[in-house]
Amino acid sequence: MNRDNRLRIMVLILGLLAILQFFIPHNTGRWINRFLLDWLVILEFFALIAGIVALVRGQLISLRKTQGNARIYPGLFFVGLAIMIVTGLVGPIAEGSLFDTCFRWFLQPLQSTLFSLLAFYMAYAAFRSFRLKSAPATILLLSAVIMLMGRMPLGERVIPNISLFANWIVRVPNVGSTRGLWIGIGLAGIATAMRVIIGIEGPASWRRR
Amino acid sequence: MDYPALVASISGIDRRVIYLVIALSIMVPLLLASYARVEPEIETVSFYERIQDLSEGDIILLSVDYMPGSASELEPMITAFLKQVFSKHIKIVALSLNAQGTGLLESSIENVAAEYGKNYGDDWVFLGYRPSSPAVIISLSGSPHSLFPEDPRGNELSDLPLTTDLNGFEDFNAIVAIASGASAQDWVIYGYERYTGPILVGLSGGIGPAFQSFYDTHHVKGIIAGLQGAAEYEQLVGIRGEALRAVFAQSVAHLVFVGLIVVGNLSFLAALWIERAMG
Amino acid sequence: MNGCRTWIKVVLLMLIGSIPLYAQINTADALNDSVMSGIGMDSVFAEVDSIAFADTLPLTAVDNIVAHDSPNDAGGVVELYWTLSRADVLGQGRVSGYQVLRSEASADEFRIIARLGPGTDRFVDTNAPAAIDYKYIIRTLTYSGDFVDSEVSPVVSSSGQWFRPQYIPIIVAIVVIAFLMFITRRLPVMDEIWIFPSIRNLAETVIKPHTEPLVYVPGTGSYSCMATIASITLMEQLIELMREHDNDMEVNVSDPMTFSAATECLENLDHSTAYFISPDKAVFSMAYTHKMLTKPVETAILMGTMDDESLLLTEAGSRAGAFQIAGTDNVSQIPFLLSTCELTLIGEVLFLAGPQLSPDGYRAATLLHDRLKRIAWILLLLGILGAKLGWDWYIRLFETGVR
Repeated sequence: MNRDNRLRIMVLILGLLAILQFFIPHNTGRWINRFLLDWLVILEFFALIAGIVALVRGQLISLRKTQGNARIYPGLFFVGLAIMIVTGLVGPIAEGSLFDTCFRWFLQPLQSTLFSLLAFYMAYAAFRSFRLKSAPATILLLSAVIMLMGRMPLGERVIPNISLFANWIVRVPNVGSTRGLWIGIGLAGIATAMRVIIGIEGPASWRRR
Repeated sequence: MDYPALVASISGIDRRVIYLVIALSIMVPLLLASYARVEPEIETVSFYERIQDLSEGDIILLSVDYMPGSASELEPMITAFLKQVFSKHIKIVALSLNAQGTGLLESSIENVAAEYGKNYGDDWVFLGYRPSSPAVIISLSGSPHSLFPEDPRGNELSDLPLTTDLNGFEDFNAIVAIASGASAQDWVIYGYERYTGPILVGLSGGIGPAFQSFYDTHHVKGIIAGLQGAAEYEQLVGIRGEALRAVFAQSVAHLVFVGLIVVGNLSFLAALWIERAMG
Repeated sequence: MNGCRTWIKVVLLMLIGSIPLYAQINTADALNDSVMSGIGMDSVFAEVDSIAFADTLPLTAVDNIVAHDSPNDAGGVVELYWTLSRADVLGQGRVSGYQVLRSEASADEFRIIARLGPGTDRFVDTNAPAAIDYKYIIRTLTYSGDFVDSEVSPVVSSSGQWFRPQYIPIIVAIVVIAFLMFITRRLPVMDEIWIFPSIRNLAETVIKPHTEPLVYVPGTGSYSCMATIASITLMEQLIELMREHDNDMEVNVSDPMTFSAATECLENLDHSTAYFISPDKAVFSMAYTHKMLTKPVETAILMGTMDDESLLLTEAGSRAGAFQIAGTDNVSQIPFLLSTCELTLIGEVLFLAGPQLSPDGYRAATLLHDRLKRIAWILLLLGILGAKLGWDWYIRLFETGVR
């Protein structure tokens, strides 16, 4: 039996086990659940190592190839990586430690700042794309304006009863369309999952060989 | 006046000008430190009343999944929730489904618990972080002890008074899931069929509308959605928190958004009219 | 005319989609009422109104104790039910509560294991190790310190079950899907099946000559998300198309396992690379933005699960002037993609894109999906009818849990 067929059988067995444990309330079912979960964590860990090695290799190439000020970015990458690895492995990681300080005072504010950019991007996207170009675009525009005005305290003062329209949009067309999308996504997801378990879909190598 | 050039300059306005306008529309109201008065939506009121219906000594399972990026929306919700719960002497068993939010969550609970004189182990327990929310939810429905044999502080769950007799979902009087990611949906998908009590959710603003259908079908009994929802909830709980302060700034920003949309459309229509007029 | 038909379909879908909302609310209420009346609470409380001899009522024990193993669990849980003491029901506050006492069946050493308030007619013993026989007594207490014990309950032991019967509908669904999958693969060759226009446009974009590598992002979700698997499947098909037309691809990945899968796919395409950036979505977004703004990009394809960072990613591509095609299963991000991308694959179309572009799979995948949706529509319409006509048996077929 060649390697691909062995892999297909392994995928089928593990997929069936994952389905089976869902139906078994007995401790055996829980044991299977924990077994699969533990192996998932182990696989993710080793995949992470492979990813970090590739990332480090890529940054080294970038460091060698770039000139002048552009070298700052790969340089900062290695400095940050070294600090977090050393402080995390060698020192304590509890509140007040250097590792925790780096996390709370560098990473968290940076993440908050990056996601705050969404507000600016949304504003520019709204300015650029909410135009009266066609009927669907007009409906999108009107819905956006109603929702923006209806879901905040000042909106009622500018346009009385706007919140009624906003609530209607959220509770009727939004619910209907969301439900339809979720049903379609759910069915498609089930079909894709079963295709993977049965072996119809898999790595590209399964088709090449 | 060169109208075509004027219209073109408005339509093609530099994005940095728009960014500056938005920044000012948020910063100035925040600096003015105004608290808004909001009209709570029925979903937020339902969330609040479900907690009010609980009694002293009841236990709530709090599941939180958020990152620093969504902390500004979700932390006010969590703080107001903890204040409502601890003031009613309800106990909390908390867990995190996001590695980065774990420390944030534990500090939030510690701060509010200290304010209300609540003791770790008796009034609240933090189980820690586990990945993969569907697997966590399914495992918790059976026995939390197998998934969390001990808490991050090294205490065995069987040694803590609050968790020693926990055997599954039936020991909780409510489940509250506060999330910016997919775990809130996982609680509905996997938790609803395993738990007979109320499931309440707090969500970031982007995913709030998508949960309306779950509220309508009673899969969730209450929703706090976004900063607006957090402000409504703070008002119901009776505290003047960060959300009530920030929602005023959000309102001004929304008005500016609408203004930008109107200006953009006027320039677009003007450009069309000029094009037709020039043949 | 086509646009008009599309609009009619959209409006009909929205209307039909909101009807189950009202049907389910009515059904939930109706079921709730029937359960409450079944317990007999109405008849018990009816007696309270007609009798008022609180202090002279003799203190009676609870009776009709039912003890059984809790169903559909791993064992260790016993459920007890009883009829309340008449003094509790009629005594207007004389009974202060109950105590639950338990002993192993082979001994007579009863210990108190729980204290319950007045009006409580059930208890769940969650600490009953499996395969040990137990018996229970319910002790009725008064405020003056009197108490009376019930008769000993039947002997009961807990055990774990091997199957949840409520999940039979799920098994039926899986069997039906597997059967449909089997028969659609064996269909004879047919005329060309309709392919989504967006998928066709995606294929046409990819085979156009490109001077720069095509940028591909398989979403920011983990490899356990179905949308990520669908994205990798789509990427494989795009690679096959690009190989024939000598285009290159650069894949930017945020999940380590997806990175492994992407690397393996790209073995088949020369001058193409996969880059692992970071599982942190903010970091990934900014690294991607930096790449898009510092290198020339013609086409960017973003397919998979994306959360709030979707707008950060697509706005970067928009600023770079790239032709962007995006698709996600995250419903809340669709408006952002629609407003920043030239082409958007919404929801299930993302899952169908890969199979529809594959020479051997598209018929089967499309037909399977069509059949599944037809079945779903029929079941939904029957559900709407059932809710209105009171077909409780039909609604209960789809209940799979403890409710």
